[in-house]
Amino acid sequence: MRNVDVCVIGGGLLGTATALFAARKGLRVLLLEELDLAAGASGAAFGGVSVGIYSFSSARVPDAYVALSKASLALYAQLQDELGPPMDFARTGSLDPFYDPRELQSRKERAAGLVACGVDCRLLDRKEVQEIEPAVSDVVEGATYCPVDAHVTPPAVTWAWAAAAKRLGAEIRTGIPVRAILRQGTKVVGVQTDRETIPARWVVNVAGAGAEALARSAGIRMPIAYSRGQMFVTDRMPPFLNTYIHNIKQTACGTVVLGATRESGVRNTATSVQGTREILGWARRLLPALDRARLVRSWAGVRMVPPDGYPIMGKVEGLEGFLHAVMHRGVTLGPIVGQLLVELITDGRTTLDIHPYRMSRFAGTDATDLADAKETFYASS
Amino acid sequence: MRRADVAVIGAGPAGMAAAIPASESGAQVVVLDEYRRMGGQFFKRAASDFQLQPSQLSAEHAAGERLRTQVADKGVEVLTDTLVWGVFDDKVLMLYGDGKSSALQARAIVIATGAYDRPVAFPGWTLPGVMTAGGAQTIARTQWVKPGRRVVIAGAGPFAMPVAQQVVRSGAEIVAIVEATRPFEWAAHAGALWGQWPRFKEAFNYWRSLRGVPVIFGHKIVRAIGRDSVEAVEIAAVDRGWHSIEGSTRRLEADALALAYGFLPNIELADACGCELRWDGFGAAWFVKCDAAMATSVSGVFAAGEITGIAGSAVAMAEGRLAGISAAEHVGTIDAHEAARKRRAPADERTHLMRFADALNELFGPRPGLREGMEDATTVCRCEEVTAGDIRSCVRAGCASVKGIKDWTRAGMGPCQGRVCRSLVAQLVSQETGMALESLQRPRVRPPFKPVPFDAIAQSEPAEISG
Amino acid sequence: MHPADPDLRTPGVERGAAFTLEVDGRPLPAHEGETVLGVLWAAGVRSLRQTAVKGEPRGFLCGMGTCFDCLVTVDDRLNVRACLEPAQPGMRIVTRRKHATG
Repeated sequence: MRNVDVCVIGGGLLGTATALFAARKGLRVLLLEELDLAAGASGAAFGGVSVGIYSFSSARVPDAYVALSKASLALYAQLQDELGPPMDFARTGSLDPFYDPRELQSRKERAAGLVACGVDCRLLDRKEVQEIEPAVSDVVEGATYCPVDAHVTPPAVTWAWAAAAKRLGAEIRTGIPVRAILRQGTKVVGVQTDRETIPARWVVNVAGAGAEALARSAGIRMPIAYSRGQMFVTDRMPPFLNTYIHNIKQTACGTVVLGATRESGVRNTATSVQGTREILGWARRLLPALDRARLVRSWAGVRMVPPDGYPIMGKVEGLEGFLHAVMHRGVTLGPIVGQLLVELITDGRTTLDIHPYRMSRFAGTDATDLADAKETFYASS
Repeated sequence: MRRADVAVIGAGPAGMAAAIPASESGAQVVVLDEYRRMGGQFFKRAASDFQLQPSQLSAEHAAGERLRTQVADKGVEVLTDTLVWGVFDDKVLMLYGDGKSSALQARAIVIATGAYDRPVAFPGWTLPGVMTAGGAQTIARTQWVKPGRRVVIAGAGPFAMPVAQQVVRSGAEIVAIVEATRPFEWAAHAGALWGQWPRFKEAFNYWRSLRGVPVIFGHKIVRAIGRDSVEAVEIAAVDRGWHSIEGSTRRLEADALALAYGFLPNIELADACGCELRWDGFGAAWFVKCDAAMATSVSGVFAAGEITGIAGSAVAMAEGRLAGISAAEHVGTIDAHEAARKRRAPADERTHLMRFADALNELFGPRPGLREGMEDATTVCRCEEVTAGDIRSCVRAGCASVKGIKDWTRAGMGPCQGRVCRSLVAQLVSQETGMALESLQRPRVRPPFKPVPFDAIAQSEPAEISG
Repeated sequence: MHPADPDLRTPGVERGAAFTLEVDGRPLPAHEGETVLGVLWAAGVRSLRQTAVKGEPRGFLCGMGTCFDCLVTVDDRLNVRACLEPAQPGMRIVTRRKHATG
């Protein structure tokens, strides 16, 4: 493709969403993916599209983040209507259970905070949880319930968006690693692959696990921590789950997807015995019906975790022609990220506030700070 | 956690043959097999509850019993009904057996997981009564139940013969053996038969017992017909590439169809261990790469039998012996010099037998026309009911990788874990895009290697492993 | 099903002890040493299940536990491979179930 307006690096949810929204605006889009679409976290993620569930270092509800999630959820519904299969957006509502009575207070605060943002989120006690979800055992103390939440199958969604982007003229090339982002002074001018230099008016770094290294090639330092999540799926079972639980869902074909481990610092995608026992053991205690299940497949992905848990997205201060987005919640926020990044390209500003997600908020953050932030992140999940 | 010097995975001809020399050397050997009794496919037999007459025993029976007895006599620990569901760092095998999951730490592993019948897809192939030749052999030999009253066996190569013999013994009528090649094609490989007297004898015996069974050469299966079950099949004449010849279709009335188009190796476990694989063009499959001592690319992991190449039971047993000796060498119960000495005879035997096996693979391996039987409505992923048309649409929309098709259509996500459809999906992608099968068919294998009950894993004892 | 069940068993073969097991609510003959698949196939029961999406009938393809086509319900266990499952007295088998979603 010549005269590329937008070169998107990364073929996951964020990349294909960006390509789709850009193509819709008539921009000439080239998406470059190192391996295959959804080969990274987007191929492994659980698939929760959630306003109600999040795991950040503060029980205080951030309004801006809720606004993003709500907008993204609405976009998903729209895209489902417009695109159809293989998108499988299912609005089942979500349950985020807790097991320790001492968590009650922080859960109350969270629910109240979400309600204050206009989100329907209720705090349920055990009995109420079991009314909605009879399969849940007495091991739960209570749960926050968000009836508007939904789930998808992230790799299928990725392909659906890619196909839609292509129909609108986007070019998508897989098996093409981008070796460097090319910069001339304060302007990013294109990318370098093994075979060629590709000039582009805008370069968007949504390369997931590869984003940090790519950023470095343009002199940008991204503070990202990584954490492995192992996932599992059963064979088909009779329908017994009405909502989805953080993180267990029953798909339309009856299989039950379960996850996910949180292995701080682990960057490979192997399945471990410990991970298997941990997730299956927890799932069984929560849902005894799983005793009749069989484990059919396992997989794993690597999460990208910025220091405070919130997304990094937008421009990089002092750099033209460049946008990036790296986050832990790529599934939920995929569509809105795509829309907002393209707004930055076409209008120079966004319709929703993304200032809280600028990378410069971490300026001065050093390695120790990063480590502390990681611990807080996991402690509250 | 349980420990062993040598873990042999698979108790077919290769596995049993490996256990014997390893155990004789003084190594502590454990043999694992997911089936109820040792023997694998080649030595499968009816349960001992059946009291069979000598005339009812298959030709392999005696050899199979001999091996089983030898294994038992050598003090080898045999765990049947035991699935190896995962292999983790440094040769820790996770087992599922007896209702629970447990760990086994081995110092050397011999992988002898065998092969399964190659799936071939065409309209109607999912109808009850369409089965693999191995499946027909199983129901006839181990259950003494007819696969059907009127059976068609369609395939390529000599496996149809022992299957036909077993089917005839079960009391069924064979409507025809439909062989894709024509006899004049065999002449080119006549040299490979030199010195292979036992093979001639085998063939002659089968031919004798199958007199009166019609054989139709130069034809392949193109359709199975029926409402809830097979009622008839259609075959077509084929050219040298097994492409159907227009207007040559024939209908045969049958209530069972056995497909004998070769085998695919069970390489999943070896792949998950990190063993290097090699692509075989004739067999259109990935096999485990081994050196002359049956060592894989992973230290302490050896492979034997059909997973190194489809070559039959005699080669499997020779390779098993080689692998067992090499495994013993690895754990130090045989020194290098003695191992080399012991390996000479089975190595020579293997070389001699491979000439014949190579010729069979070249002659009867799947040819391009075999892949052209899938109409748009033909089911390809049987578990998830994905059709060839679904997959073709997917490819045309830009989704041309086996993984992408899996993501989009769910093909390969079912309980068979892609064993049946993986090669078929690759064939479709190859047809649509021109990409070589070799670049498409590589599996990415993860545990569990077969579905495992949840409660068994969740309740397994903690293993002192870091993997 | 036909009123008189066909028996596809090979005559002249001495089998293990005879018993019956229940298939879809009715008794079928079985013998020690047979698998559930052997019992069903001998009785002419070829439709072991219905596929989950299209409701198509399936029998068995590989007969060796690899293809997962021959799934039946045995007692309270779902998705059991009939080709590997030894037939036992007292078993209750259900076929033609849409494996476990229907």
